[in-house]
Amino acid sequence: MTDKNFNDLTDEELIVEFQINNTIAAFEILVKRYKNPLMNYVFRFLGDYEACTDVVQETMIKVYRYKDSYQSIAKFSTWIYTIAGNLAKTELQRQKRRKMFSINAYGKDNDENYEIPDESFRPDSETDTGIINEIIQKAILKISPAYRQAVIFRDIQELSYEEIAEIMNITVGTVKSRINRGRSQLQKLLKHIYKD
Amino acid sequence: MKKFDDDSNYDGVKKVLQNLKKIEAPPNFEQKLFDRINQDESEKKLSFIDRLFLPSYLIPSSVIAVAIVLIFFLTNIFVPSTGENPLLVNPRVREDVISTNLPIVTKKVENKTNQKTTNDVFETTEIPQQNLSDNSSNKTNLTNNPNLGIRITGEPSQSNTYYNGSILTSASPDGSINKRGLDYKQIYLQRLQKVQIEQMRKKMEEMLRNSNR
Repeated sequence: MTDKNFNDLTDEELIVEFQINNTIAAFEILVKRYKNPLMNYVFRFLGDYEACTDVVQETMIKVYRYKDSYQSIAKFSTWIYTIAGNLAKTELQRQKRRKMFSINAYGKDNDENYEIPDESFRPDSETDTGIINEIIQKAILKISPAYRQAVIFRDIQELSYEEIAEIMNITVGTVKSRINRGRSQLQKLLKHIYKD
Repeated sequence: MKKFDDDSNYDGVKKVLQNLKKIEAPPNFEQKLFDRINQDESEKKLSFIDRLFLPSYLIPSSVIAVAIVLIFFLTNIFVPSTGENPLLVNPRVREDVISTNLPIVTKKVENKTNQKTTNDVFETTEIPQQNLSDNSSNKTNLTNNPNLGIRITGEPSQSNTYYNGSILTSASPDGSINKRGLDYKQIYLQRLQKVQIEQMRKKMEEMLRNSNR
């Protein structure tokens, strides 16, 4: 089968091809299809581009290594978003611990040198609208991770309630509740932006 | 639940979120990804046994092995051994009762008082150390032989001290040996051992006889 033919296959067909025949081309197409949606989701969840790239790469490696654990009954997108979501949550916890540690260290000794993050390549700060994007991103990061995840899946990734419920392993009702609570919090935080 | 289905309340938020700029992966994303996959693959190919014998893994394990051997030897050297067989160890020579600068004197003591104590005290002329035993019947055979250089004395000493060859021993006035302070080893012999000693004695007698000729 040629690459052109692989492009015509669905995600589920590609992963099955990769499982059975270990076809790297099939895996490459899946990477191409999902790298940007995953980057978008993980970046909005973490707010850190470097960490987001690492998480998405780790997600792809997990797909490659544990391809046999995928079962055809589920949608591939649900499976890969679940992996990415779990890794993103782990990274968020790590970042919180790191932040706590750095604050403690700063309190002890103010003379230490700190690395200043390179802000030159930030996808959301290249233009004027980037400033608004940054404010929105900061607001997203202020809401609780559970609500944040649900809002990102629904309003940014535009997934269905059922898919979100499956990814987050909660009921559809809980998904709707979380989305509404998240939106409500965001509305308060972003009132001055969308009124303009 | 109907309240949650109504999205119209948050149209503004929804619009803002939908208009957010889409984030894209860096241009070298796939290259980096496949580099990492290949790196993982090569690491996975090394089995546990292979890794065990890699120099980096071998160093700590060999250091631990050497340390264990060293600890074992050090603890065994400095801890005194208690499991010695007393039969295989020579009796300790007591410097406080042995005088080496005195001349060898043969002392003949007549037995005046008690026949019973005759066999209890004996002295040597050529053999520097003396064997004492309560087994008097065997002692008689061994010690009365002049060829062995051993004589039995039974006379009590005036000074309560005998100088017999090179060993100073103490005895009570009635002629019986006071074992206190003596450096000797008391062994109770079995019949077979007695026979063996008897044979050895005969051999020695024969050897001495031959040497005298």
